[in-house]
Parts: sequence; structure tokens; C-alpha cells
Amino acid sequence: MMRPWKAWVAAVSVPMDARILAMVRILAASCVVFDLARVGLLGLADDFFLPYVLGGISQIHDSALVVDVLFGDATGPVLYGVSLAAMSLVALGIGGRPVQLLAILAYAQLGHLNPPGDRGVDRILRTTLLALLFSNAHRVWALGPWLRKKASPATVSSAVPWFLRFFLVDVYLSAGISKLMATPQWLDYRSHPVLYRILSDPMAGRLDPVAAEALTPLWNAGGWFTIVMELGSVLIVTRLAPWWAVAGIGMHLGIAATMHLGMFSWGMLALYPVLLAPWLGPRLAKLSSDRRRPRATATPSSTSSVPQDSAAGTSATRHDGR
Amino acid sequence: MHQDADRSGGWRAHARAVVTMMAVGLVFLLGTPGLDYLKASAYRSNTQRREAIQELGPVGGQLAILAAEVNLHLRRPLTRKLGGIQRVFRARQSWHLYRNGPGRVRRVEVRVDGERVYLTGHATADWREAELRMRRMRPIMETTAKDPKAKNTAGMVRWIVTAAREDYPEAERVEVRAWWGRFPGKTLHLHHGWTVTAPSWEVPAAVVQKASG
Repeated sequence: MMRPWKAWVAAVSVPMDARILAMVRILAASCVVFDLARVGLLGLADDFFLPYVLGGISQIHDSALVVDVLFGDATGPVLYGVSLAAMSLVALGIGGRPVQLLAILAYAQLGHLNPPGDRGVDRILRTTLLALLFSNAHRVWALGPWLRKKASPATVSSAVPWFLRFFLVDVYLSAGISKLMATPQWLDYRSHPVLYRILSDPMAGRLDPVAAEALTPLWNAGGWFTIVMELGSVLIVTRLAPWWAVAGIGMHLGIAATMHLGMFSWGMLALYPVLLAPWLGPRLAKLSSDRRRPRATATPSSTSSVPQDSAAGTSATRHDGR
Repeated sequence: MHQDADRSGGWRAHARAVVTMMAVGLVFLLGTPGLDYLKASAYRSNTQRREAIQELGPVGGQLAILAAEVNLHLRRPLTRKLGGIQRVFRARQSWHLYRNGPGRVRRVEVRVDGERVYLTGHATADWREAELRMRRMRPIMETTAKDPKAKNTAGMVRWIVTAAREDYPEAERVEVRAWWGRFPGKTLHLHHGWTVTAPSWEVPAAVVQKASG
């Protein structure tokens, strides 16, 4: 009983290259920034974020929208502006935790204002940015501390990365199980592939249904691959995480190429530096031009590999001289 | 040195491990894979339970019933108590990712003075496609195509009409039509639609066709 606990304690205490989490912070916030900027560039901000009576599209608003009491008719434009500005600052690393919290809260209120346009990926990114509040990701690759000539930490504990890994397991496993519960045909090679139906659905898919029908075996294989990936997402908490991530990148690039889902794939991939940490850490250390303060390269690999990781982490910490 | 002590089991290391495990556990509880989609009414009646055992076998059926019991009496009450914080951050641990595809194929068509300018997924009838395909717009377009009485269809049709009047100032009639079909690539039939005309440009209730499908 004590042994697994000790392994867990060691796993979440292993120092990890802080730049990995900074990468997640930058990518996650950038996804939101680009998405909101696109809304603005298409001239849709008022259409999405004004109530119906003021010319907006949606008549559905979540009762958790509370800032309308303060801002009245200007609620939409204010929330849009604050979300865009605050998320940009998060990506740039200015303002630290207070700005990051403000960005999450403003973006959440924006979602309450326009629930149909607030999708699963938005919830995933908000959860991720919330988790990052409990790390020092806001101090690394960050303009604010750099301008104030403040040193950024070389390492962070692996607690938040472990949380994000389990979180991703939840997300993918839930998707895989719900698919099989709702449509067992995902695995049935005799019926028409579910994936074909999804990718050739004119509302979201990009494929021509007639041309794509000739590739039925490919869609069958793609469907099985999807299920294997999602049910196999438990590998994310093992040392095989980077290998799973490589396949996951392929899956998300495939989704981006074949479906109109906006930032979905990019939002999911924003979390992947955590999965690729065992490979990224050493490469970042190698690429680092700051020879005076070499970075730690230890990264969580798996619960079972904790003793080895701990040893690596100890060595890295000594290099750090901290 | 301090971090080394942490890893070997200092109180900070244990506290961090406890908090991380609680956070992981909370997220798992709120979005338990497999249970997050299970309705409270699942496997409640004797008939449902008999059917579950017939369908999934004695072991599988009993496991499904047990899962439903755990979901109803343990997970859902806990979720209700602990889940409030999710609303503050709009971070509900239910993602509904990568759906199974719609049961029917649906396309929205826009006609301005009788001329087709937009049809979902059409190579050339692609008026305002960037906007109509935008990820925040797509769910409302899907609803517009699916349910003529849905709450957001009026706003969607009004948006289309307003945009059409901007791009075609001489227009006198804008039609928004929803086409349905059974399978990708097969013939579609008109299911419902709206015809909005000058000078009032008021969005009327949808006209639903009687054709089956």
C-alpha cells in the first residue's frame, strides 16, 4: 500500500523543465486568441456576443452569466475585448496569475453569453489554464518577468503535468467509451463505417460523399484507429505517452484536414507538450543558449518508472545549483 | 537539497501528492468515462434490467446495472455537491467530443430572388461560407437544418437575411431551406424553410413540408 503511494509522491515531486508548461500556456491561450480574433475579422463579434434583442443570433444564455448586471447592453463587447486582451497577455506572459485568472473568468462568461458557440474544446482549454495557475508556467518564456529582469524558474514540480495527463485520459476515454456505447458499429467492418458518415456529413465534414465512398476500407481502418487511440489513452500515464502522442498528433491532423471544427485539433494539441515532455525536455536543454543556467531535463515518464525519473531529477537539480 | 527532501517524502511532497490526487479524482468523478453519458433512469425498471442481461449477458448485464446504481446513488449526488465550481469557470467535465455523426444528412440552402447562393458543402454555391462554417456558427446552422422550431433558428435566419440584403441590396426575397437525406451522397428532400420578403423582412415561422424522411 505504501509503495504505490511513495511512487506517486516521488512522481509528482520530480522537477520538470518549466518550459514544457510554458509551451502549453502559450499554445492554449494562443488558440483562444486566434479563434476570437477570427470572430472579429469575420465581423461576427456582435452577432455572437450580443443578445437577440440587440441583433445577436443566440436567444440562449446560461444563467451563470452574471456580469450583465454590471455592463448591461455592453456585456458582449466588454467580455469579448477583455477575453481577447487577457488571453493575449497570458500567451505573452504578462500579468501573471491575476491576468490568467481574469482571462479564464472572462472567457467563461463569454461562453455563458453564447452557449451554442462554446464547445468541448473551450472547456478543455479553460480547465488546462486553470490547472496551469497552480504551476509557475506564467513566469517562464514570459515577457513580464523578462522586462522586469526577474529570473524565471528552470523547473516546476510534475504535479500539474500529471494532472493534465490524467485529464487527457478522462477526455479521450470518455469519447471512446461513449462512441462504443452509442454506436457499436464503430468496430463492425460489415456495416457502413461511422467515420465515413462523420467525414462526409456536409455540416462538419470536408469529404465528398460520393468520392469518399470508394475508400470504405480506409474509413473502417480509421474508425478502428480512433477507437484504439481513445481507449488506449490510458497509455498517457505510462512511459509510452510520447509514442501515443505521435499517433494522437496524426489523429488530430487528420481531423483538422477532414473536418470543419475550427480550433478543436489545435486546442487539443496545445496540451501535447506534456505528453512529449520526455523527448522535448532533453532537446530543449540541448537547444538552450543559456549556458550559465542549464535547465533540468527530467520529465514524468510513468508511475512505474518513478525511481529512475527521480534519480534523473536529482541530478538535474544539482546542475541547477538551487 | 530542498527538492531532494521533497521527493524522498517531506511533508510538502506528501501534501502536493494528496492535492494532485484529489484534483485528478475530482475531475474523474465529474466526468467519469462511460458514466458521464448515463441517464439517471438507466436500468431502473425490471424490464430494462432484463433487457440489459439479455443483451449484454449475465456478467455484462449485472456490471451495467451496478454501474448505473453507482452512478445514481454515489456519483451523481457527489457531482451535484462538488460540481458547482465548474459553472464559475464554465469548465464542466463533459466534452461531447467527436460525435458519431448525425442520423440524417442535412444541408442548408440560401436562395436570393430564386437564385441559389449557398448550399452547405457545395463547391460553388459558397456565399458567406467562412462565416456560416465558423465553429461558433456551425452548431446553430445544424440546429436550423434540424429543428425548425428551435430557439436559435430565428436569429440564424435573421442573420442570413441581413447579410443577404447587404450583399444583394436589390434583393426582394430571401429563402432559407433545410434539405434532408437518409445517407451521404443520396437524394435530399426539402424538409422545412423560411421565405422572407421585402419590404418588411420579418422572419415568419418555418414552413414544414409533409414529405416523409
